[in-house]
Amino acid sequence: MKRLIAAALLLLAVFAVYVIGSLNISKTCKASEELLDSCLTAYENGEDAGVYCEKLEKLWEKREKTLSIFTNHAVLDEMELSVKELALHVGYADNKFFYDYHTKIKMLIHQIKEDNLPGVLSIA
Amino acid sequence: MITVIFRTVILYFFLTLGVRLMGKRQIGDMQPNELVITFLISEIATVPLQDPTQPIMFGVMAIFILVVLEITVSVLAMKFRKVRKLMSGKSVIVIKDGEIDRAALKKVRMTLLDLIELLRQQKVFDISTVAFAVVEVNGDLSILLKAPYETVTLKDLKIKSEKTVLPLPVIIDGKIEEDSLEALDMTKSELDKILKQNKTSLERVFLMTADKDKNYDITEMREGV
Repeated sequence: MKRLIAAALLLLAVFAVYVIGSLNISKTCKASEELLDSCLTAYENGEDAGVYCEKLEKLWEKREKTLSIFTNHAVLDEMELSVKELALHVGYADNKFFYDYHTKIKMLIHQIKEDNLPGVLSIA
Repeated sequence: MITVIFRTVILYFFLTLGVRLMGKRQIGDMQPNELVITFLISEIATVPLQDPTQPIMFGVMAIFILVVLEITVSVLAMKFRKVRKLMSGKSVIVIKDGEIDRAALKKVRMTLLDLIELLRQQKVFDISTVAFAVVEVNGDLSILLKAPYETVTLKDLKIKSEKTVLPLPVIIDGKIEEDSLEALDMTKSELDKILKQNKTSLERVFLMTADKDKNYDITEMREGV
């Protein structure tokens, strides 16, 4: 019985860590997607899209440590690099690279979500 | 490199905790589900060690979930016979009254040569002396010999034996084992008295065992050991 209690407590701890980690991932991904969308709209309207890139950079810098607990470190590094590249190309109008990195970041966010949040595709 | 060291230390502690929670078992004594879990845990533990891009939490979580599953299944198996049968299978009688049950042997996928080898390992060379042989769920063979071939016991010979008492270690490497003293209802002053009687001291004792009947055995440390 003692073992069962210990196991239940362990499961509870694991579940708590998982819930906190998942919430952090969903929150960051959602915020990133919103910033990316705003960035694209501003870029296409000829407004200052750099502000959104800066916010996106800051967001990932801030969340990197907590995200690394549950997210593949290589994906996180790739994400950071892509965000930096996006910020670099946002200053030029009709830039092919801007769209490339925008799509890449969207894909990476999708990958992070799929790897960590429960779903038919991630489980299969 | 230092990352690997830290990860190894962290995983070592989590693995030890997991295995301790599962309980002590030797590989040979494991039920099929326990064996599967042990192999899985050892495989999972190597992933975050070999690949530094993988978060260590992936390994730790998977290990803990397996441990929780194993404990839950073993508790359920203890309470419900059907669960036990489903997870571990059941023992099969392969020799009955000196005769081999071929169908049972087929059921446990054991060849005649395997059975003969297992019998020899149990010091049985003549199948006709076996009353029952059972293949246990962990693959061991348990044998009950026919009455004329059973080992003679003191009870059979009607010889009265002294009661068996369990000797406990009271001093190990010059240090008193408090739990043993308590179990034997022995005080430290009694222990000191015994040591004095034997012209020795606590620091010089390598191992001292004692039982409830106050029988004791002292092994002193040798020079240079």
